[in-house]
Amino acid sequence: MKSILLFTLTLMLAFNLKAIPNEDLKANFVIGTPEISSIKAISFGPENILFIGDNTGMTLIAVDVKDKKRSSAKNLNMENLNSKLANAMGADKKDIKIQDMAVNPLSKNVFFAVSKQSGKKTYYSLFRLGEEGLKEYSLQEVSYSKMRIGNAPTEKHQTWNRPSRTYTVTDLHYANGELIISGLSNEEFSSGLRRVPFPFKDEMLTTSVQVYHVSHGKNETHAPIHRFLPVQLEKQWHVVAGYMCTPLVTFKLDQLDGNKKLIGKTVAEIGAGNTPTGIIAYTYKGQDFVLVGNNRHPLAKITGKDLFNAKAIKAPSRDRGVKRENVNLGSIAHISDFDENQILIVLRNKSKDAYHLKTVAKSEI
Amino acid sequence: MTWIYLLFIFFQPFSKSEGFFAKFDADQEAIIIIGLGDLNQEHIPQKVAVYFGETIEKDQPQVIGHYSKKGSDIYFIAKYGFTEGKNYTVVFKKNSTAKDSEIIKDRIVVHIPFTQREPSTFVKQVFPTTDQIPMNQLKFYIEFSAPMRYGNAYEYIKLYRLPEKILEPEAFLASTDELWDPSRQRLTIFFDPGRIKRGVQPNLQLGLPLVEGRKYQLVIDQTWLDINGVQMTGTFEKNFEVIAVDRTSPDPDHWSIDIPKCNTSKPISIDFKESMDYGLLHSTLTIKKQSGEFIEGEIELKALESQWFFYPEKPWGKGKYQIIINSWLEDLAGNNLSRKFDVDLSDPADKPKNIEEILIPFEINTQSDF
Repeated sequence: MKSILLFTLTLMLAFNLKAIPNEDLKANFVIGTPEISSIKAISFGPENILFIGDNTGMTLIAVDVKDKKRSSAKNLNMENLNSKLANAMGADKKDIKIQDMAVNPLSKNVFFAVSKQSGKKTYYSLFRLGEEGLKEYSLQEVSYSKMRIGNAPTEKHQTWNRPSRTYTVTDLHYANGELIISGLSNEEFSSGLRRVPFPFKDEMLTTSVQVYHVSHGKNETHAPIHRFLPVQLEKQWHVVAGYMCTPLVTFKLDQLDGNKKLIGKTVAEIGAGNTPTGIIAYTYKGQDFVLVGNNRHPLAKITGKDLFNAKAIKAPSRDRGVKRENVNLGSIAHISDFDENQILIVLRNKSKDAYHLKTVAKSEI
Repeated sequence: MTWIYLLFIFFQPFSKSEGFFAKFDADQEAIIIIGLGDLNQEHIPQKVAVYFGETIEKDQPQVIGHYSKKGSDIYFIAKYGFTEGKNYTVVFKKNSTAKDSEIIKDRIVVHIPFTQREPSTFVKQVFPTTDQIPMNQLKFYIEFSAPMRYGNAYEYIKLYRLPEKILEPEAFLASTDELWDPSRQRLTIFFDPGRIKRGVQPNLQLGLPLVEGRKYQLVIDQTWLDINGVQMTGTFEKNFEVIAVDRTSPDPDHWSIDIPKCNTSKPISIDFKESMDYGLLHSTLTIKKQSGEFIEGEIELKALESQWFFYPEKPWGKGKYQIIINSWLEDLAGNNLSRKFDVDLSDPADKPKNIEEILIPFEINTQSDF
């Protein structure tokens, strides 16, 4: 962990993480075709800005998608979404993977990041699902900005023989003037949360968050964050993080200051053999909710108030911990908040070969 | 369906349908459409469409690609490549206002042939190479001789308990993200760490994936496809025995260092006295001269990754040096130089050391014997 802190310090210049209000978010955007070697995670910020996490290129890209607002909820329920995406990429469904889904909060268009393996190449593509249907979203001649996130260990130290260390972006979200990124290393079971002020200024702050408490705070253990969400709980910015194997942990956002090991509050354990596939938050009928989508366990629904007031769990248990409802919608591959009344999920069928896009009414969750 | 494929063989490279032809040109990586020379470039996208497969489903999107006219021929290049062994249907819409899902007037099926390739890829090694694995082993690295396809790795990796060869289900953390090195020749697989950690739910529910005293076999199946879509030359098996849990951090006081002589290119070596993590042995150690200059060279691991050898590019010069070891260097159980994988806070011996790196100074001052 300390080493990650060190890594942070090597990258970190003295900078102020506070958002600058009214700053023109697109002031440093240029028109062109961003060089992208992979698309792993996507997420929307304000003003039509789509953030793309490029793993192999170790780059963050912000694109102005210039969306037009849709006027209806057309095309939001789609059987065999993976087959349609595959066919558009000239492939069978088994050769593609839906890497991520993001809903543009302004236009309500749905974006998918998709990869295809063909011969020696892996192709990455973006699709936009609007009223006109499912269409490729080309990144040619777009308005964008980018920032390299680099991999500090190989920059600080010489690497001999071969560069084999990688950092895989697992999730990214914009909140309050900055982009927050979680990732996985292929050599350690750990990661930090990275905070990048936006508009990009080539500044980054990493806080070691891979440690959490279990069993009465007696044991400390470490694991990477797989999915997370910055969210306001009782008007304070928090990060709700779903770790691999399987705790749900909360931090206050301002605790991610890059200067110390941060041990979050373990509020729940979702269950064995499960991967959290997405966390969303919304306000419905005056009440705040946080939803954790899972691939092996039911969707967990928690009120913002309960999450804020949750006590650290004293012993691991699926039943104890923060008060929550289990909502069984099936195996969730991707989850997004859609609008005032609906969420959007990509469901995987039991034989794991078909993925269906589906809206679910918030009144039914 | 066999007769359809036979037909393709007979009719390749040309397929004919009411006046237009289509064929796949492997050199150009394009479907060439012949006989629609009257179409203007700008009208092509309205009149011609290419679909994946030989039957077109309702609402099936067209294959994304670019149409261009070369003489009287139309070239279609798929933006995301054609898939070998699959069929594509070229459709000519006589009525350009017709929707794609409506009855199509004319269509030709084009087959993309397989490039015949013999299997050549194999598993070079699985690390750690020792056959004595601690009960809380954290990970394996699987090294292949050539880049592999990703996406379904865990279908091909199985752990069996011996001698009955009973499958140990969910031993590994089959996360949605496969952890490959940049060349896609080395995959990292983690044992489900939730089952290794004390006091967390998967550990309580399912217990440890490995049990001391038992023997196991890791099997990597031959049918896993390499980047060319060809299976491997054989199935790889690694048998190992599980030994006691390791909950101690590596201790530099127990290591021994062998320092080479001046003006030789002999290696400097560290004997860790225990097998260490293969990947991190390549990325956490560096050697620096007192002047601050990094020493270039090659690493070799010996004795089941318990010994690290560094061969300098240039012969050692006289002077003071440092081996800098980042504290995240781990043993096989994920215990690093600063802290154990999981820490019992009530045990003072478990207290993390909060160190960033370990410095091992050494001096080269003896003249070479040669």
